[in-house]
Amino acid sequence: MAVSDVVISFIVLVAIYGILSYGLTLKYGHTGLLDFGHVGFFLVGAYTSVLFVLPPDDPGDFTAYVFGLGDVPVVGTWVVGIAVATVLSGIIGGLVALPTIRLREDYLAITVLGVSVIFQRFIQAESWFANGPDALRGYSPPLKSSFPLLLEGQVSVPFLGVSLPATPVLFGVITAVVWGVALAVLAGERDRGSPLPVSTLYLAGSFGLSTLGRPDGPLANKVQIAAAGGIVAAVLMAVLLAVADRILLVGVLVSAFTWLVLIAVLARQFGRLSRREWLSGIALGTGFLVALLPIPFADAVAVKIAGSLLLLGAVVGGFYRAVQSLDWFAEAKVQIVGAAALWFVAIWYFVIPIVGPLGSGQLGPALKALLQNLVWILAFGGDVGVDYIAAVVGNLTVQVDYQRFLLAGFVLFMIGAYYLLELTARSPFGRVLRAVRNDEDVVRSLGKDPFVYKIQSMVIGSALAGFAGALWAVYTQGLTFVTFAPRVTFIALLIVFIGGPNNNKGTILGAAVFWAFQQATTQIASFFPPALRVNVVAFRLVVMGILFLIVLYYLPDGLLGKANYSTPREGDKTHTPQREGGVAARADGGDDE
Amino acid sequence: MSAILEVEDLRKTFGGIVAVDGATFEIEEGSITGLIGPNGAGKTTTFNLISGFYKPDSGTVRYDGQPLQDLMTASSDERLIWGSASGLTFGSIGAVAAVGAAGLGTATSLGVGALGAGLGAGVYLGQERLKTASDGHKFSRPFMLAREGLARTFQITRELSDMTARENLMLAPQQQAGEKLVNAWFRRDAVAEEESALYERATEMLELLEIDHVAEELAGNLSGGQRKLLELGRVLMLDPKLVLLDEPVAGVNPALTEKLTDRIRALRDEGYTFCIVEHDMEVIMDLCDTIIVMNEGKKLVEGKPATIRDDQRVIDAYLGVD
Repeated sequence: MAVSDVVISFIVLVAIYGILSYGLTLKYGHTGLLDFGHVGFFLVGAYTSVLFVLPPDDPGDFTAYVFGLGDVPVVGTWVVGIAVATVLSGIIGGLVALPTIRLREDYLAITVLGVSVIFQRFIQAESWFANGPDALRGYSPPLKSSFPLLLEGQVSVPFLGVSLPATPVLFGVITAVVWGVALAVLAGERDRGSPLPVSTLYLAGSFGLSTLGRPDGPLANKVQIAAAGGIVAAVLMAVLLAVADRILLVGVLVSAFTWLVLIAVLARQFGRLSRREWLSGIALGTGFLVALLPIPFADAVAVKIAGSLLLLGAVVGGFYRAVQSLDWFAEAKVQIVGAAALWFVAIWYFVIPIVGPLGSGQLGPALKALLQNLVWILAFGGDVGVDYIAAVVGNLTVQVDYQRFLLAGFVLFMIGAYYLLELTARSPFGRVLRAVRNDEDVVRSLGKDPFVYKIQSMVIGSALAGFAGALWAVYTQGLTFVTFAPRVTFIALLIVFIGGPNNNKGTILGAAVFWAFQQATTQIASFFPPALRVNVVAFRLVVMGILFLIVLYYLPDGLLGKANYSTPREGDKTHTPQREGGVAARADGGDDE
Repeated sequence: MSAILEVEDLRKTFGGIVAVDGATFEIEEGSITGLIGPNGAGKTTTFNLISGFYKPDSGTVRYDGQPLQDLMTASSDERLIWGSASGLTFGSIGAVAAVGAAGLGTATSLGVGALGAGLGAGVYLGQERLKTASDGHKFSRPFMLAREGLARTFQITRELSDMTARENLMLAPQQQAGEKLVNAWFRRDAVAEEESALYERATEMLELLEIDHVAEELAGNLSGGQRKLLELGRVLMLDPKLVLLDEPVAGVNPALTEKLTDRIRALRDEGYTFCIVEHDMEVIMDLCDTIIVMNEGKKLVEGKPATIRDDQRVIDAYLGVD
């Protein structure tokens, strides 16, 4: 698997777990409901959506499930299945909450934990319902049959009664999301000020749309511009594909734009570092890299473990010593760690994949690996796809695989969930939720029924978990009851805590940290003999527990701290109307930007 | 003048302790009534009973002529949630039983499900009606009273410490459109308009109480006196008719106390009614129109401050003479 594929599956997992954890952010972070049974709604969502798309059960085969609506027109589609899964999870969340919500924190946590285990055991024991302890398979994820995208044009997708050629349309969808997200990021960079000509890039990337915005009309804010720009880019790329069949060209264009945006972000983030700070960062990153070298290269397991741990200890000790003794180092330590991580990731992404082929003197495969990681939106190699012949590299088979499609869809859903949570947290409704978390008696004394708000919080939070469950079903293409163990709840809770329970951005950061750790340890485990791999994978649960403790003890508000959701937003002048006369001059003097 | 609150033979026991033992008194509309008495006289318990936080053992409290128990029946939101949950549960059990156990067809099963849903909702509404009709069942839904304009503060300040002072105030007003999730998501313009009006109101209240310089400070970081003021402001943001103040000036410095009492008097003149529990005799004598002295869960005497000051029974109660 190419490194870009690892990154893509990483983002897909972050999106699923981000949405799942958003349910808990709403329940625990905003409302103070400690729901240890969150995974139960994840399970309900996953199995519901799958039962909607599975064909009716065939009594003759080995699988058995209660019903399959896949053959029913309209009802048996993923759109309906996911929608029903979301709604049903919300309803069940509300029903579970009714008898339990009056309990105090820890009792509530224990009872809902019990409920989630009941759900899991029900799936396991009642084999007529969803194939019991065995995996529930035999369904195909949405539009999977159209992938990998081909240019022959024989595949088409129905859209509003018209058959459209699959490749341009689906690639357009992917482009719209990727381009739109990149544009939104770029707009943020432009507002923050950047050493690079970001405004020009933004103007070009948005096809000039950014100049057309009017405060009250369409294109009023950067989200609308991002959406419009994404759609324009999608149409352009789709036309290019449909007319000129240049899949490699459009892939390079879209990938190049994202790289430019990433460079703009990094230039602002690290542009102010001095040379010695850069050098320390690079030294630290290289140190970590060297510390990990015994794992792939040493033969004896003892040497792998002891060597790596010793070297890691030395690197961490050196870092600690530098923070203690050097003032400039201590001041910039966060930036230095960031630079180290950047260096480390850059080597992992660009250098390590080409070291192998280059070592054996093969320039072609090395360039191919590099190209794959640069043009990340396309998948190279494989049996099907479009063939190109490039100088030096040789034969290339280019396609767009299903993972890239999932990436676009799931990232879009995660942004949607984030938007929903921001909307909720910043509204008067969110204010009541925070008040409930603080002191229910006060809420009661102010004429609001905490019960009604807690139930709504449980319903929305559980619906988000159910939605994430349906996405999980799409991603894994098979469900087993083991996946839905209480552990998942605690992972979601860890994610919420890492980023900050009262911070909607923090949940995404938490999911990213968690999955980065998961994937890194998976890669490390692959260098151990097969018999030991299980132990390595089990050991990371221990590390995760320690991580949980450290976060709770030293960072009770998470990495990003508490977000300020008080209305009106800072700097948002529409909420603070100026008063007439002399008062305005006095009162709002400090608000000027 | 008419009585806004009538307390009649109110009783409440905690285990073996009789906290309120047949208290009977009235509070006149547009007055400031002081409720005093030695420690353990049952003042705070009476407050909790009047504001609906405790269920009384017996006796009635009438607010604006209506018994509190009638005001505290289940709200429409609560009826909707429980009624639909009960209906949904009964309905799905019915439908599943019809398909799984009885092997009926889809249409029939849906019919059975609908029947079950009706039955479930009916069962809930029926038992709720029975509770309302029976004398033995007491409700405790203080928020229903706050909606009617009967508001209270707490003896130990209960500020929402994770929220700013301004947010504490903006939380209080009733019938905010943005407190409904549907409006918060889909009618954002209307909500934003309402919010900016609320923002202004909160600013005015903060200026009135002279704590506008800490408007964006977390309430948990405020000083004790500022919290008292914030809590008073929060209750006033409710637009209440009757305000129950539990020790409003405890821990507030003398200069501020004077301002606070002036403010309360001014609000009384605007038509608000106050009932105050306070241990600071000077404040009580200065502020109140009527004083009710409680002892051992009963009303001992009631009268003007001047008469209370010289009443031998009051002095005996405070000094513990049998």
